[in-house]
Parts: sequence; C-alpha cells; structure tokens
Amino acid sequence: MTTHYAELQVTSNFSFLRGASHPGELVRTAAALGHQAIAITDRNSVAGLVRAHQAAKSAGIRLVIGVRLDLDDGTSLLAYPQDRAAYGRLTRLLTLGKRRAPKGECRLDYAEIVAHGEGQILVVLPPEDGDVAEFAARVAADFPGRAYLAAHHLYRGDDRSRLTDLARVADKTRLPLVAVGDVLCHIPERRPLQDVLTCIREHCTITQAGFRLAAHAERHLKPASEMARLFRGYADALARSLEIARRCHFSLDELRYEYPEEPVPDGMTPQQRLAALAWEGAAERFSAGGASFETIAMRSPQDDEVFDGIKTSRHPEEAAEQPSRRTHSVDPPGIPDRIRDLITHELGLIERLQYARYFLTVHDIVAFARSRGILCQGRGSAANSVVCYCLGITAVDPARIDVLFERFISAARGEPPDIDVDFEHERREEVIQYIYEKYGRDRAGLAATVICYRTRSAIREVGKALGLSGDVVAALAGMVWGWSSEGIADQRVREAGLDPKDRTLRQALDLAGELIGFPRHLSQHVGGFVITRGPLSELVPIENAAMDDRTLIEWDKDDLDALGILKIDILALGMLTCIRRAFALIEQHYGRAYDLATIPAERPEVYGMLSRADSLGVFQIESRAQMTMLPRLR
Amino acid sequence: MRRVMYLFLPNWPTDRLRRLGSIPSPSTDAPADEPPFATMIAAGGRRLLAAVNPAAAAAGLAPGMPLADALSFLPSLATAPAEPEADAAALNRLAEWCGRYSPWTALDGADGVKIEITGCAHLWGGEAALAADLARRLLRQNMAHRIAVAGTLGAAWALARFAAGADRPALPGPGEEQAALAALPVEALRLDPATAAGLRRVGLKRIGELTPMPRDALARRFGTAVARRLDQAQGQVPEPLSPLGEAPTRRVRLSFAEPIADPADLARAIELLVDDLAARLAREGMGARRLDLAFHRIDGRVEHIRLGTARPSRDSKHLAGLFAARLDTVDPGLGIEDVILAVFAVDKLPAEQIGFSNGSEAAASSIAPLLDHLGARLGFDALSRIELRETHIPERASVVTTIAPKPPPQPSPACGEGRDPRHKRGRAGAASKPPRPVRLFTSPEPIEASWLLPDDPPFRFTWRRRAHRVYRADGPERIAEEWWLESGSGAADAIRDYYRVEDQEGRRFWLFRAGLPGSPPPRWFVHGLFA
Repeated sequence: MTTHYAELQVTSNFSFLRGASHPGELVRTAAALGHQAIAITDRNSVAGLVRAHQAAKSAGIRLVIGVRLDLDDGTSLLAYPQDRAAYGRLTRLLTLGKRRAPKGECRLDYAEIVAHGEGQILVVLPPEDGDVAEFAARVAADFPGRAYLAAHHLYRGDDRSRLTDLARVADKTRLPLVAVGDVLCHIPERRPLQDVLTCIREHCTITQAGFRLAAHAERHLKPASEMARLFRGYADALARSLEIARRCHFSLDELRYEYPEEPVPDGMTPQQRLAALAWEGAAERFSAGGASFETIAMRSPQDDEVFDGIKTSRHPEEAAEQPSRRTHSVDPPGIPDRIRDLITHELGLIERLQYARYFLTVHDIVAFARSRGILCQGRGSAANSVVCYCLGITAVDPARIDVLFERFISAARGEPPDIDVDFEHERREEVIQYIYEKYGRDRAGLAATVICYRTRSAIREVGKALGLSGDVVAALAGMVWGWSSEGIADQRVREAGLDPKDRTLRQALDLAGELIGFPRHLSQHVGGFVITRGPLSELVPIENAAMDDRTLIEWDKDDLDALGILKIDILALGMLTCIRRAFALIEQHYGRAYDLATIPAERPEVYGMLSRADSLGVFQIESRAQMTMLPRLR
Repeated sequence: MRRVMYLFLPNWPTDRLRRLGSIPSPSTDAPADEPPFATMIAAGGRRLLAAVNPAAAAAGLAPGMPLADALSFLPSLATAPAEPEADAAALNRLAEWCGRYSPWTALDGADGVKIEITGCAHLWGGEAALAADLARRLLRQNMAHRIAVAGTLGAAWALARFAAGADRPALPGPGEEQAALAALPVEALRLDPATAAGLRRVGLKRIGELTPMPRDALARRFGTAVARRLDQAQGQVPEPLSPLGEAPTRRVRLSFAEPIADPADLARAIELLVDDLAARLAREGMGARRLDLAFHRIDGRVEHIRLGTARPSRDSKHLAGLFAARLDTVDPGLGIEDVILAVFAVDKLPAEQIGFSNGSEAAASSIAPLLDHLGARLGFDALSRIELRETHIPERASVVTTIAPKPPPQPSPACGEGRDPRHKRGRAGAASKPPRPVRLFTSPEPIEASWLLPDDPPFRFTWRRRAHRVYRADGPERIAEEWWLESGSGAADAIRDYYRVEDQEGRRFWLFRAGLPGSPPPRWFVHGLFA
C-alpha cells in the first residue's frame, strides 16, 4: 500500500534566522519526494508564501497556505485559511499583531485568534516540554471540528511514549491527531547552516551555543514512507495531513487585485474619464503649440475649469466613431495625426486591459504634486506612452521621439503597467503622506524589500559564529571580489595570508556561500506603493517600518508582480529639487517661467556643450566614463 | 627617629645588560675595561641613546644624544635596544631583595630603591655597617651604586644622588644633615627641570641659599613644589614611604605587652583578630577573599600566613579555623609582639537570610568552606571539580576543571530551539533532557547486537561475553556529531542512536548504534548503566 502524506509544518528562511532553506527549495523537494501538498508555515509571517506559491506551480505540487502563530503566552498554533475570506481574516490578524509591535515583531493573544478564527483550520503545537492538554481543550472548544493536535517525532528517545501521551490528550479533548514534521530544512545536509543560523540569532559562537543547537539533523523533509514508519500505529494521524490539505483549498491565485476607485464624475466610467483627461491634456500639450508656456506651467486640477473653455469645439464624427467617448472626450483640433492615432490606440488597449483606474490613480497623485508645486516626472517605460504625456505624468514630448507603447503595456505580456514617478526628494514625503491620507493606511502601504545576506555580511556573520577571530573575518570579508558562484578560490584565500586547507576556514567559506541570498529582514522599498480598493490588510499583512509614520507590506516587488498586484513607484530624485530651484532662478532673473514640458528643446548650445564633454555636474552624464563617451557620440 | 636609606643605581640599564652577558666584553668583566656600550630608543623616527656605560660616558656620550652623533664620536660604540619594562622588573626584584634589610622597601623612579631602615640598623651593627654590607654585595655584581642614609626620604635622595661617591656612602651623623644638604645644588630637591632652571636663573643655586627664603615668596614665584620639597627634605613635612606590594584594604592589629609564643595564645590571638575583622566586614557587607596574617617577632622577623577563599567569607569561625590549621608553619622564635591581620581583596557579600530549616538553601554555600579547607591544606591547584558543559554528546557533557578561587560560571540562558525571551518557558536545558545513566563509561564498549532495520532497538546483545535478551526498550534518541570540531568526520550520517534497554534480569543499559544501516555497517556499543 502506498502511503500519502502532506507536510504541513515547514519553517522556511523567511522565519528569519530559523529556517535553513529557501521556500523554493522546500517546495521542490516536497514535490520530488512525492508529497501530496506542502504548507509553508513561517512564524507570524506570509513573506515567503509568494515564492513558495510560484515554486509550487512550476513543480506541480499544491501549496497549502498557512502560518505559524506564536502567541504572547508562549503557545503556538498553525493556522490554515480555508478560503479567501478566511485568508483575509488571517492577514488582518497578523496586521493587528504587527502594527502594535516594534518592526519585525508580532503581538498576538489567544482571544484575537478566536475573533479572527472563522474559516481557519488550526493545529495546536504541543510544547517540547510541558502539558498541552489544557490549551488543547480550549482550542477544541473554540474551534469545534476545525482544530487538530500536532504530533512530532523528535528522535528524543521517548517518542513512543510522547505519542501515546498525545493520543490520550487527543482522545480526551476530541482534537484529532495529525502527523507533522516540524521541518526546518529541505535536506539533512543543511544542519551546519541551521546551527550557524541559531548562533547568529543567539549572538553566540558555535562552541557556546550548547543546547540551543539541535541534537541532530532530523528536521528535514522526509518521504511519506519514512513518515509512515515513524508514525506506525498512527496511520490516521498521517492521513489527516491530507484531510487538512483537502479542506484548505485556498490558493494565492484567488487573490484578485482591484484598483482603487478614483472619484469619477457621475455618469462616467473610469475609461471615459481617462479618455476625457487624455484628450484635454492633448489639447493643451499639442494644439496650444508653443503659444503659452506661462499658462501651462504649474497647471493644477483647478485649472481644468479654466481650460474647459478651450475644448468647446467638438468633432461630432469623431465622437460617432468612438462611442466610448460620448460626452467630454472629443479630440480638439490641432493635434498632429500621428499623435491622434497613438492616443486612440493607447486608449483602446487600456480599455481592453482595464487599466483605466490605475492611470487615474497615478494622474491623481501627479495632479496633487503639481497643485503643491512639487516637480514630478514619470520615468522609465512610461515615457513611451502618449497618454502619460497628455496626463502630465511624463514630460517627454512623444512628437519628438519614437514612442513604442508596447514597451510600456502589452496585451501579450499580461503584465500590469509600471509607472515610476520621480518627485523632488525634499518634498516626496508630502506626496507619501497624501497617499496615506487619501486611501488610508488600511488601503495603502509601501512594498517591502527583502534584505538578503550578501557576500560580505554572510562571511562576517558565519565567521563570528564559528569563532574566527576578528582579523580573519575582516580579511575574508575584504576578499569579496574573489567570490564567484562556486565560492572563493583557494588562490584568493592564500593571497589574504590564510590557509585554505584549514578546516574551520573551509567550513566558514562553504557556509557563507550557502548563506548568501538568505533573507535577513524586510525593509521598505524605496517608494513602491500598493494601493487597493478594499482593505489592503486583507491581501497581505502590514507591519511597521523602521521609519516613523511608514507602514510596509510583507511582500516585495517581485512577489507583487507575480500576483499581478499593481504598485506605483513614488521615487525621490534630488535633481528635480535642483531643477525646481533653477526654474525659480530663471524666473527671478529672466522673468521666464518654465516647467519640465516647456523647456525649449534641441538647443544647439546644449549639444555643443555635450560634444565638448563639458558635462561636469550634469545629471546622468557627469561620470568619467560618460564624459569620455560623449565626444564620440557627436 | 626615622631613618631612610636610599640606593641610587646610576648605570642600572647597562649594569643589568652586563649581568645578562649582552655587553661584548673582552676577558675581564670589570666595568672599567669594557668597551663603550649604550642602549637606544626610537623617538619620532630618530634613534636616541637611552643609557650609556661608564666607558661610553667617558668618551662624552650621554643619554638623549642621537645615535648618529654618538657613532660619529665613537664608531666602535656597541648598542642594544633599551628595555624599560625589563629594567623596571629587574629593579623591582632588586627592591624585593633589599627586603633583607627592612620590610619597607620600594623602587623609586627607574634607577633608585628606597628602604626605610628605622629600627633595623642595629641588627647590622649600625648604619655604616649596613650600608657597607649593601655596597659589598652590589659591588660583587658589578653594580654601580650610591648609598645615602638620612632622616628623611628627601635628604637621602639628595645625598645619594649628589653627595655620595662610588665607594663612599653619604652617612651624615645626627645634626650634620642640614649642613650636608645645604651644600647640594637645587636639583637635589626632586624638582622638575624647569623649576630648577628657574631657581638657577635668579641665582639660587644651592639648597642652603633657599633655606632662609620666605616660603610664601618661593611659592608665589615657583609654585608650592619648591617649598614642599624643601620641607620634606628637612623633615618639616612628613613624607610617607609606600612599601613594595599592594596595600591591604583592611587591617586589624593586636599588640602584646609581653611577647607570646605559646600556640594556644597565638590561636586565641587569631580568634580575637578574626572576630574584629568579621564584625567590620559585616558592617560593610563584604567578605574576604585574600588575607595575610603577619606575626611580628621580637627579633624583627615577620612570619606570614596567607590565605585565599573560594567564596567571599566573613565567617569568623571558618576563617579562624583556616588560620589555625596553618599555625604550625609559624616559628614564633623568641616571642611575638604584634599580630597583624590584613585583607587584600574583598568581594560583596550581602547579609543572608537565615533559613528556618537547615534545608537545601544552605547546600550551595556549604561546599565553599570545605573547598577553603582543602585549598588551604593542599593548595587550590591540587583540587578539581566536575563542571557541566552544554553539549549533546554525552561524554563531552562534563569536564574536570581546577578550582581556582573564581566566580562560578554563569549558566547560559536556557531556551529550547531559541524562542523569543517572552516565549521562554521554564525549561532548564539539562532538566528536559532525556534520562542519562548513573554510570557513563569513559569509552563506550563495543557489543554484538541483533536488531530490526533501520532503527529499532536491539532484541539481543552480547556484552563482555554475556548474552542479554532485551525485554523492554525505549528510543532511539538521535545525537549527531559536532560537525565544527576537528574530530568530526563531516558526514551527514555521523550519528548515534541511543536506546535505553532492560534485559531479562531487569538490568538497564544505555546502548547506542553508531551510524545508520548501510556501508559501513553500523556498530553497537554500551555507553552506560542505569541503576
């Protein structure tokens, strides 16, 4: 008889300094071992779930979404949401716990688990020592039919009697026993790294760590047959792992991102509103020609009413052609044909992909910045969009460059558009706080950046844990350029005056090589904002950032991309501050007002300067390499 | 009347090196015949002479001269790097050796030894005889020296450095001291060079010229140092001489009108002193760690009993017992007139709550008096104790260490697999470990065993040629090797599976299997016996 098993208690390295394997490694190993499903249950965190989800999809194994909840009173539970609603409650619970704790911590008590417990399957984790009966009875009463009791095989000598005791508790409390592995790494060979992580966490060396280290390497993923052998006599406990996996059918694929609702005048769809704004913008940018820099400079939403007068002349036949542009959106005269075609094309694609709300959101933020006189400028691929230009998001005139809208948005790629906007660095915080204020902290949050161990930090931490002296660690860390994917060459070690054959040194180098790329902590992304229609905390837990008044979500930008969640990069650019001051000086001394879109283009003086490589102090092209290139590009 | 002897060693660094054989010398070791020699120090990129021997001095070299200049004067100059620390250490040893003349000796600067010989000179037949004895002994070792004896340290210092000759100690008789001092230059007053130069500039060249000056005028012009040094030299201001070695932090003393010698009397004296000290320590909330009991004999010799304690103590019975045990090492000679108990180190020892029961709280402290007794008898080096170490490998879990009087090791925070502090449960690392046998073999003994693959306990095994049938078993407890040690094989399966088994006669064994089934085949061992 073939046995089946699903591993439901797995700690990945997103439980920082606890798990010794990447979520992907764990998921792929579980798939290779023939597990029916695997759950990644990090401590009070879902940060590794997206990676696990992607790996599970490509490895063809089902990922059970779950989390390990460590409570303030020292008890621990595994929680698996059964559906989307339960998942939302779980992330809301984690948000609650994290928002009141210092960065990186989570404070939860049992009553809150009960309050958010609807739709969750819970597994009580018995402590390594001590009695679980009382807690188990409480959970059994609060979660009838949805709670289990975990059984581990710890290789501690008394496992049979432990299992018997647990079975007795299970009988008494009517919590069914479920076999779990309490996995920390995907293969037993990770034990040294696991021990080193413990040392890093406990700030001690490997010889001081003592009983804080694991006695053996048994906390790795095991095949179902081995689990069946360890839990012989408890076949039903093994089978219950599959039962839980079956009951928890929620997948991250069900997360539907919804664009925030932007205020749209009555009777208009977001698409109509976007089209209206785009044509308005086009009228100003193109039909006005070079007539009035002054009027366009510092345009704000309030100016819209002033400009309404311009677009009185309409083209009825245009409106007939484009039924979606019924009322306001009529392209004014004077727009070059090429631009008109481009706008029509882009709007069509945006409508097809339903990105109108996203554009409106960006437009709103940019309009806010303009109204405050904060210079801003879209960057990157958004410059390929005429619509972005018309909305004032970018300032590069598409009439002067070849735009390739498909570089920006493509129906084929199915990726959400990515509009990055630079703001004056001194005033970006105003924009960020505006977003928090407008959407609320429960709907807007900064994306995280997963800070990983790099070569230098890895060798430093591993060296310290193995008890290498400070100067040896410094010498090794100084050789970062000698590292390659295969580790460090013996030659380089010898150059640093060290013996590559030394056992401890070898171990330190090998372990550091393994540690590189391990996540260390979450930090805030430079400016990637996630804004949602519903509460963000039902999508992903929100935690406090190290900075005051900032909150960040547990996923980084790759995770967000993978789930198709949109983010807007609110970036800071010091050069914009500089340009604003330059504009102010020009106005003061020459009486001319410019903005980014109205700077006279194609000035021969500029080209002359660049051809002379006289670009010291010129943003983007002031480096030595750039300066030597410039004359050749003439 | 106070008498101070001062020994000035003008060529100390080079004399020391000569004794070590570092100075190239022809045949004789008479310093007058040796070639010029100097030590040198590096100062700001230049090398300067630090000390010169008489031959070099005669050629016009002097300390502080750049080495390059010196070599141009005297190309044959031999040099060695100066070793100020070694000089000081050797001088310290010399000062200790001077303890043969008096217990109160101390080194002074880099080239002098001060010896308080008050009440000592008569033992040597007078000050002149004492000085002669010292001079003869130094001469035998080719040590250049100047010796002076005076009523104050300041005067002795001045006379030794500025009046005494190579084989002519300055020994002014009573009443001649002031006159002898008056003739000396102002530098003899232990002044810093700037002050001395200032005095010379205004024409005050000799100490005698300073004496009649109004003191406050001197103080206004040159600071208080001149007046203070002058008064010290003339004995108008006391100048304590701090003896070699550390000063005791607390001292109690018992003097007897008549010298005592009977051991019972001495024991009684010890009790009185210890009671006195204990009362004082109790007031301060301290306990003694290092003590010295000095018996001053009427012949001027001092007998010492020195003690250390394993834990701070102020238990008078305990301390008196420790001293009494060593009393037989004290030779009272003709009698003892003073007993001085000095404490050199103390530790905090707060007042203790006395328990109502004579229960376990006393147990922790009860080992300390025993250790003190054993340590006082045998020396702490001869004692060792077994200490627990945090490791999963059974035979490494205890280690034998010597009992030095040191604080007990801090237990490391016990937390299972490292929960947050707030998640810590009352789990003491060792307490939650699976049971360990009462007897653990130092080296596990191999056995033959039969078992079911892969990791069932054995059902039969043979140990010391006796077959045992296993009736009950528990396990396995898996323990992997400590991979970071040199002895580790590095293999992931270098593991042991431990089993507790009980045989047909109810005897319990602690067995383990080294390695997992496969190749090489695992081996079985007995590692311990349960009661």
